[in-house]
Amino acid sequence: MFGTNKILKAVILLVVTLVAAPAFADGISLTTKVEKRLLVPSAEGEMQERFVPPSKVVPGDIVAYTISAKNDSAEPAEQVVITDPVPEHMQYVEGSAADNGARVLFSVDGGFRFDVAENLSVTTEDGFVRPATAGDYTHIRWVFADAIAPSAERAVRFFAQLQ
Amino acid sequence: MQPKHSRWYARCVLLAGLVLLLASSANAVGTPANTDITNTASVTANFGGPPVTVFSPPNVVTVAELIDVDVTVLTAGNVLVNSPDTNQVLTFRVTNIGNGVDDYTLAGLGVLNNFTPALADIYLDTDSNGALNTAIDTLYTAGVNDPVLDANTPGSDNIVVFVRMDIPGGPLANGQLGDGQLAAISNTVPGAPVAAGTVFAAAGDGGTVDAVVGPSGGTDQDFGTYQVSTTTLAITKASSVADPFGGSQPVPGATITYTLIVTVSGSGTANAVVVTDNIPGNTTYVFNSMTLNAAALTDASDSPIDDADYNVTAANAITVGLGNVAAGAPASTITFDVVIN
Repeated sequence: MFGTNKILKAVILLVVTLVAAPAFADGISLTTKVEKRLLVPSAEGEMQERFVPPSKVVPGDIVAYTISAKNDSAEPAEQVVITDPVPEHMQYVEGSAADNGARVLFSVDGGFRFDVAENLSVTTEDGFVRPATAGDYTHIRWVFADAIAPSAERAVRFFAQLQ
Repeated sequence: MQPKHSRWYARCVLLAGLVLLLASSANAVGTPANTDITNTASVTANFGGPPVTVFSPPNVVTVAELIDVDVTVLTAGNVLVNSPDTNQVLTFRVTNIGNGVDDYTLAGLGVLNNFTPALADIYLDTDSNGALNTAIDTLYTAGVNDPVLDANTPGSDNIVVFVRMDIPGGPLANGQLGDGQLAAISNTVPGAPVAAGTVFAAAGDGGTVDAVVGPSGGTDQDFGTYQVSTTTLAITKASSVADPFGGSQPVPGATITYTLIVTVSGSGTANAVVVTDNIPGNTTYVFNSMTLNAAALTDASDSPIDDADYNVTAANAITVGLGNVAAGAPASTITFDVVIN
């Protein structure tokens, strides 16, 4: 079940990529940044988040992925949708997707179907259907209702834990 | 733009291959060191026309090596020993619970409880059968054959280690305890234990990634306990006389009742205890007079009715089997009668 799902995901990526590759349109560009999240005590003793370069990531660490979409054109970018697969070996951290004004949707089937977290379920090996949890998510999607103005940039972020 | 197209295609084929590879190593403790974790996001938008999709450049994180080790004693309960005693074995398992390949210095140490055992030697379970065989298993020498454990390969991620210790004499009293410890220290972490999160640059597998110390601090230890166990078997014998005239004079015709009391003290168990007593000269055994704890015994050798006989196991003697008697069990009382000839 596990293996099939992963292969499916790779195949989907392949298909999406082949279709999308010729449409390398100018107009919008996308960059991602990954940082390791540290919790360090402040002078007052409160734990505070700090983000450092991800050169020392080991199992159990939490990293932050920041994805920035920039409208490079002179026209507003409409119906902007950002999609990011939860990387291999990573598990999405529940509730960590920062929406920045977007609707946040998830997929548990390799990116076929996206829905809000509450509507998603998975079928277990023994045939039971249970609500999906963070560990089931294969993709995260941000759907922006409003346009991105020319030269403007929108960033979204999520945390993932290295397995 | 063809090159770009080809590149995407190549990457996806590579990704598919990687996924297959990873699916087969799903049992690993954590993501192996040196694994590249690639992330590529996509965005779709339109500018008044058909939607366009753009991909981000791939973002690659290379997993560092986690240095973490676990030592667990496998010996169940206390090891019962004599005082003095030699080469008493405690068995441990050392497991690499990081995500790479690491090697360890092993250190055995006697630790004071009631007494301090003395380290004799350490053996590695070369034949992986969990039992020490000094002819097959390997004598450990620090720095010479430090075990190398691969956290990512089930079976190669751990090794069974035998620590042998000597027990001092004195002799020590029954029940005295002494502890034997095994420590495993990662050779990647000088001065272990160090704080979790300490980084050793480029000290990870392959010498490219960093080594990061996990919760163990780079070393772990566990201990087992030796218990001095002496088992003492004791027997007492008493007699009483009843003459035919209602007195207690040992005259011909008088009956002598012998009472044997068997006790086991100390710790442990006395196995297969058998009591034999010869019928004294000038007396005659009274048939069917044997009792054990006030219950009658037969003279025939008729186990399992009872484990006692007269003149069968030993000529002209009573023989009573008591089986295995644990130390501290209630005393066993045997009686039998003879008549003075």
